[in-house]
Amino acid sequence: MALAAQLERILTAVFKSAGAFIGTFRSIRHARLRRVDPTAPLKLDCGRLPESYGKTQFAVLVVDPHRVHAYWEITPERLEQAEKQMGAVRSAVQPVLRFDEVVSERTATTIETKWFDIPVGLDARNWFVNLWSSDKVYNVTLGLKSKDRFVSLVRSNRIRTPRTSPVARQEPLDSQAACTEHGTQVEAIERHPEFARPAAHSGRNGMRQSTLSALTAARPTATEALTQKLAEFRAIREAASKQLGVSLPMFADPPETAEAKQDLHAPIERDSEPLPEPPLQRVEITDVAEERFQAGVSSLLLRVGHPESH
Amino acid sequence: MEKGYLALVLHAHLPYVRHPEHQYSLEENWFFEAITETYVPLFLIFEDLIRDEIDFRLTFSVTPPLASMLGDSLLQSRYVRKLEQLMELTDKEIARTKSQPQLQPLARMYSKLLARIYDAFVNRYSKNLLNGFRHFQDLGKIEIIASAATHGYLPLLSVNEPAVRTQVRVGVEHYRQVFSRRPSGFWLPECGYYPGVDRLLCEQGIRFTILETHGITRADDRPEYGVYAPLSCPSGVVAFGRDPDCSRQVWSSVEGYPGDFHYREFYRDIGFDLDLDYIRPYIHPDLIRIDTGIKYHRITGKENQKELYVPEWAERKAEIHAGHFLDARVQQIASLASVMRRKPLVVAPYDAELFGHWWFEGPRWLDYLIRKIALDQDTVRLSTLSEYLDEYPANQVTTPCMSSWGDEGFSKVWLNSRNHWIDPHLHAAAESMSELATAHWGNSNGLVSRSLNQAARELLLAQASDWAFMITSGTTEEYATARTKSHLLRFLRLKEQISCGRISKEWLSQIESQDNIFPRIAVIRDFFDGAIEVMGSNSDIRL
Repeated sequence: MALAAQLERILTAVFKSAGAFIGTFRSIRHARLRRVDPTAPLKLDCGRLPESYGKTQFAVLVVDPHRVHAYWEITPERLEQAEKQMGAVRSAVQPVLRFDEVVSERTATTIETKWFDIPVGLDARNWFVNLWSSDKVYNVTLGLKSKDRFVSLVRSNRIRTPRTSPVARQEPLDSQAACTEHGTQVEAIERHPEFARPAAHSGRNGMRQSTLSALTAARPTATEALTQKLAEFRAIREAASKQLGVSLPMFADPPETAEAKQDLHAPIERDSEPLPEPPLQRVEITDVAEERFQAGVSSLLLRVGHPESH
Repeated sequence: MEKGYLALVLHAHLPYVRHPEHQYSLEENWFFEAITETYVPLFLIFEDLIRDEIDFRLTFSVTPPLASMLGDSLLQSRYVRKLEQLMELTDKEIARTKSQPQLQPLARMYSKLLARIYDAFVNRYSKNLLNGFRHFQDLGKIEIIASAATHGYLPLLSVNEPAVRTQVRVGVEHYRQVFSRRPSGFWLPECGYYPGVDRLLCEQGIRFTILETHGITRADDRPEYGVYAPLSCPSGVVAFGRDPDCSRQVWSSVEGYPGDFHYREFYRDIGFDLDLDYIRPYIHPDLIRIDTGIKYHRITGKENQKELYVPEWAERKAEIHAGHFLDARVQQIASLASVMRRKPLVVAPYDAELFGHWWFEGPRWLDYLIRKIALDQDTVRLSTLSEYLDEYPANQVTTPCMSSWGDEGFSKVWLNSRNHWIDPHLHAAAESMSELATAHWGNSNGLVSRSLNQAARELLLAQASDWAFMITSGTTEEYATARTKSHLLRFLRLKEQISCGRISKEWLSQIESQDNIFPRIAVIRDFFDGAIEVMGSNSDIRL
């Protein structure tokens, strides 16, 4: 019996080992089969971004001269600590964004004499703030405010809002002009001796004169280029006419139709459209540019409201 | 002798939309369309001008994502296939329009144009348009300037300086690798300037940048010459200002040239107009209709009824508009010259993709303009911004105003109620990046340094201004949201793997080959506090 039992144990152990071996072999094989092909492309990850990063953080971003955006994350520990400091009942506490105006950044003084508070909801975790004045420098603090106390939760980066118009002229014209001509820029350039000047282009004047004298005939003007292009289109139409056995119109000139006349540009009389008025005096050049400036004129404008696909 | 200069600046940019995971990608089509409609047509114009010995100077910004895609062999071969398909479609169109004599010449026009584009792309530029950009720059006809690594909108990234420094430094390094020279100029994405970013440009040896008009006119000190002479920032970097008249004449969707009723209508395309069975092979396999680029109508008017396109009329209009633009510049420069103590400079920056893609006749307008400037008058001469600075190195020193060329002139496009969720994640990731870089700096484990660099790449890709813009405009919001989230999630997963010391080599290899921008740049460098001192200026050193 003992022998039989021993034999059974041995056989069981052998089978177990064999099974384990086969299992291991299978799993290795399976793993091989499952191994990710490192060159196989992945689709975009579509998970959820974290709700929080477990850290107290706060930033204020300038949207425009009269609008900023603040966002924050306050850990429960930091909030609890601040609430303890307040020592007031929660219902009597208002979370606020405190804007401390830095009176003069240019003179490097940080006398914070002016401030105002914007009540916010702490759970909102972000807030757009409209501002009355532009061209200001602020330190912003997110804090808790009660009737008689303010406790800071976190301070932001310093922000500077942009201007809405050019600054007034401060110096007499002549001294300003002299400053321009003999300004400190020369010194600034000297601070960067590593600037490699771009390779000199082949002398424009020289090339222009030589080509004017020797190659005038070979340089088609815009009018000649237009004639050539129109001839190309004519050839295309003639080829089509020939193949189709019909006579196609040649469209030499745009039509003088009512539709064309409604066209803002059709046809443009060279001198009929008002061209920019010349600036009258040097002092007005900046104002003229500012007055003519129209924001947002770029491809961004074209794409808004005009989906790529219809 | 000229009285002043005109500097035309073309900003060529597309977000990084390489999708090897799909056989067909709608987003890659943006890139293919820009090649067919803008980049190659502009090169064809340059070739003709050079052949005709018409001198010209243009400034180009070619952003790193665009340059990376232009040099990518997968996209190059996909583009050739796309172009061949399009040529096949125009052949079919010539046959289909047999009984429509008004249409057939248009089909033939496209057929001829595409054959020219194919010849240039495949035979002359060897499928890599960077060869073309390098060629025209080497000839001195164009000056290419650098731009930020992934077109990050820098004013909103500025709460984390290493993030901005990385955008600038990686952009400049990529330029040096691609164009084998140092860039003089730098295109701030969306013209997004804030006081202090010039210092980071200066660190990279940048000489000048370009701002929207009010960035100059609202500077800390009143500019003496408006936007017709540049300002020097306190860092020494020179800021040129955009001329508002040039912007309005060309760009305005109401009064700008591209809206002329004789020009080609962008929003009528046979991809949408023709029978589904016929157009099926040339649209998305899921039968999503797309623009094919074959468009037979002119703008006609404000109503939906569109008449057929007449190329001859459009061609004449392009010439007339070029003349009108030049007349305005001649008058403008003559009057400015009479009140300035130096030759005025008019800076006219445009998105390159306006020319040809949005405004089909744009390249023709540019051709006529350049010929007219060279041969028809003596008041205005084309100049690059570097050439101008060679002549006028001393400029008024002051700090420009925060500005952008977006709607309302500031940051609203990239920060509003629809997309404000993005910035906190970008800022948190940039901060984590600094912590990771500092904790693992000098780690000799190759997998760790690879993971760190890939994490930085994912962060850069998430920072592209394009995503926030698309969300604002509502055009491709779903895709833009997915791209932002996907790059951030990959960043977070890499962060976790690096922190736990359990890096998945296979997954890392996959995302390295997928999000493969800047393979030869140590992207992580600036996130380590002491990196600049340790590394000096040697850009080739890796972690």
